Amino acid sequence: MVYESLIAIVESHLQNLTDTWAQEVKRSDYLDTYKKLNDNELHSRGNILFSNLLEWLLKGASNDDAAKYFTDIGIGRIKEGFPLSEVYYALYLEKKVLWSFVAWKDEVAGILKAVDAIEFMTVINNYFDLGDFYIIKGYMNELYQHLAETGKYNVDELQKLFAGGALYQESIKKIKENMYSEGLSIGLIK
Amino acid sequence: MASANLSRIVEEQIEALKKEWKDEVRKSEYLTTYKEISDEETTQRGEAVYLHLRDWLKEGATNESAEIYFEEVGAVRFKERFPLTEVHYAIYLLKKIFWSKIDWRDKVTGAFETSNATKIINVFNDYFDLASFNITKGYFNEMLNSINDDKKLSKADLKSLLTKGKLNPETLEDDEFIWRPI
Repeated sequence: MVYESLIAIVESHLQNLTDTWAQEVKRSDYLDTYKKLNDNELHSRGNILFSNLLEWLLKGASNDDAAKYFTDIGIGRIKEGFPLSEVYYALYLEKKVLWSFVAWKDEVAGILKAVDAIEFMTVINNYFDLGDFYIIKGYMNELYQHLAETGKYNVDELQKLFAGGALYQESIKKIKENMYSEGLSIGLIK
Repeated sequence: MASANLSRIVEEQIEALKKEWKDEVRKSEYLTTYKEISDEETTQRGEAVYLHLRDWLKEGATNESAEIYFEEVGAVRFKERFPLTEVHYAIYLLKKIFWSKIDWRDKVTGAFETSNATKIINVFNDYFDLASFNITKGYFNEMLNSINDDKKLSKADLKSLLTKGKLNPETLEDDEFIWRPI
């Protein structure tokens, strides 16, 4: 029910969602790097954001797909010179815009029930939590590679700068499974 | 109303919240760095975030105190050599545990009221979005501070690479980050 409704909202409002996201980016005092993009490019990126969300929902909200998508975003954005905090902020705006459409649906049509709202936000948060997590992974890995390739930092210096932890010791798949099962174990991911 | 409800949950369930947090950390195969600290310290760290959440809610849920607090958390975790991904994962667990404690029913009617739910969701998301965002800022700023300026790729070069946009909260519009209707 929630997945179908979310799919319907994103599908039927794709252009509006994109336009609203682009407007929010332009009026933001924060997103200096995104503001350097021209209107077409900005809209194109907004469209990609929501289209990927739609595709993720249509494919059954797979964690594998989201993880790959967001890791690639992290890698891509550092190559383009976006600060990580701006990438986060743009993603935060996407969530905010999406939620505003969900809430609007409630106010206008009274269709959304409280239990639906809770489940909507559980699904939305799951997607964006994975996003936060894997964007960092992609971004930090690429930064590490970039610095290593300059030859100006030795391995010890890089390891001092980049605490690895479990992320770099385990396979991506295992981490995703762990993350998902831990969410399940405390009864939060449905 | 939403803020009051949420702060009451923290006060009433702080013992359960911090115990679940410690248990989840211990169970997690992922939080290897957190596992290096003692049970007592782990519990205290989780408790500190929940108590800050309570105070943040009571003080009007503005972004300033959350900014200061979580930037500091990000900076300290960098100094302690926690991977940023683990810090985010810890926030994710704290969020999920707290989410599970919310009683979504209206206190008066006992019914699930949509307006209550959406308000609670908004406040709830504000806090943890601010946490993720400001931890990242604090962590990267501290990373920059940690670099000696004796490399061919200088501290300034790295700063340019990492922070071409704004990291200075003074340049931000105060209300920008708080969840607001679009």
